[in-house]
Amino acid sequence: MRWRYVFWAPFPFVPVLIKLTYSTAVGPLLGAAFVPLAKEWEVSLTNFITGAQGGVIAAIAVGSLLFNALAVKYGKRPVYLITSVGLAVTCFWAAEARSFKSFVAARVLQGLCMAPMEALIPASIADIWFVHERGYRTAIFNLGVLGGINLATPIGKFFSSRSRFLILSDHPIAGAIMEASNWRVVMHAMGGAFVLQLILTFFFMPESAYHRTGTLNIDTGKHNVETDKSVAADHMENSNEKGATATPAPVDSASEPKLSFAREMLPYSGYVNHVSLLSTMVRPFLLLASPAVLWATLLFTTCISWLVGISITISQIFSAPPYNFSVRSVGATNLSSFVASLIGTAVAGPAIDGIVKRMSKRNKGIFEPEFRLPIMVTYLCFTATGFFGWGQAAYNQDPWPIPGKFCPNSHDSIHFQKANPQNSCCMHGLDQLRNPAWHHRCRCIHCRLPS
Amino acid sequence: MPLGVLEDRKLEHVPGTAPLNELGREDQNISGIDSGLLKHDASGEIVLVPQPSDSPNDPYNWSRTRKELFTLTFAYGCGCVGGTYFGHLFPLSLF
Repeated sequence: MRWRYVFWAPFPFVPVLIKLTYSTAVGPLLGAAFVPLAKEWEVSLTNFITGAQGGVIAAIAVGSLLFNALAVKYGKRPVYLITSVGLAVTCFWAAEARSFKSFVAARVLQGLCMAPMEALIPASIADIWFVHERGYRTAIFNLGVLGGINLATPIGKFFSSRSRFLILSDHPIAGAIMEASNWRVVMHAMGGAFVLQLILTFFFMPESAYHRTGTLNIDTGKHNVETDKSVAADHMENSNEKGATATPAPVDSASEPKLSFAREMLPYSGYVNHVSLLSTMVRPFLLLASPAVLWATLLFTTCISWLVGISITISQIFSAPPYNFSVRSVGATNLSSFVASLIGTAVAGPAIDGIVKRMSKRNKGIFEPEFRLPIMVTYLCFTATGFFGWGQAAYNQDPWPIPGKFCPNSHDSIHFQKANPQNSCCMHGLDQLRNPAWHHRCRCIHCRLPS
Repeated sequence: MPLGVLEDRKLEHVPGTAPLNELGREDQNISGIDSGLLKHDASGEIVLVPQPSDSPNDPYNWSRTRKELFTLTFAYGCGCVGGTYFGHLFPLSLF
């Protein structure tokens, strides 16, 4: 099922496949957890999962296209600000939702607003960091997303394990409502976290889109100069990062007055890029024709699917005999993955940038995007040992430290891979295709399995 | 080229290829630009790709602190977004 899903990347299939995947494979596993709310709102479990979770994933896909196109045209700061507000509002809304329809509506809007944080960040990284610095920052970005996933689980479990004592003696339905209201507390907390995010974004994320004029264009990626045409034009060219408005007269940009702090804090800087919104939205689909992008998409998708699969099986296996972990201890196993991903990021980021620098040195100083690829070898090694080890140890029902060690190992490898080759292939795409390439990120999101 | 990779005969440059440092001096004119004109990082060894402009408003010219704060902010935001995935808010092994 997963494999087909991977190959059926095109967008219309996504909701259908989510439904299939969930109702066949993941559905029963997640079932127990969704029971209370589904019961409270009298919705069938399948419908509940499709609406609540599938809706979010489909919305992320749509949001990636929509917000990325808007960001290309009007700059990134307004998009980040609007979606941060949206995230906070929808969290509070979902927390207070009293009907299934209202809840799904909140979640779908939330999915839309989640998209830029997933699909637009790589472009922002490329806006402010130079090529040789990007590997590390992309690793930090991935650490953020995965850290969030990993930390939310133990925190959520901590909350629910507390409530469990209260529920135990109670009537099942009352217990279910308790559980649901407990979940509301978590959702409110998330809303608060997004309010903080909004404040941080306002102060620390000024507009990073910039019309760059009067620079030497050594980046040969965006103008595919054909040999028979005049090459000279490419040299002292006024390089316009977004490739749109050709303002031929090079302004002396050094004499530009520095923008005041107040001016930078404006939600919208007035940045406009003269591109068609529609073609910007269609472009990622065309990019799938590039083998590099297609490959990166496949890699990212499989990686995320495995990550999700593992985190589900961890709970299942450790909470059942012979391990019989308490809810809180199961949550704690995710903490080890978080530590693993911290280590992975710490090692991987500098490793990527280091390899790139060293290889370009040996290549007589010339940087090639392919230099980001050799680090993939680590993925192969770590993931293979991690997955096989974890599977075998769990199958043998070894004492818990053994699978316990392997599971961070495989997790670590995924984080390592996330921090590393996935970045590297993302960055590979970015480096290679420059301006349009970061769109492939939203393709990745399209075929991402629901977590 | 090795591994059966086809030689590119149409483009002047391979897309994404850029001079990153200049230890191989004989190739300094690889992109047809005198390397003396290029901007380098603080160590002076690595050519900045892409090349920043001279403007103080160019994001590439932001101070290091500012860039790191930007990075930390989106890292936090991404963490929150990661935490919002639904399945994780619903504890799996509750019952």
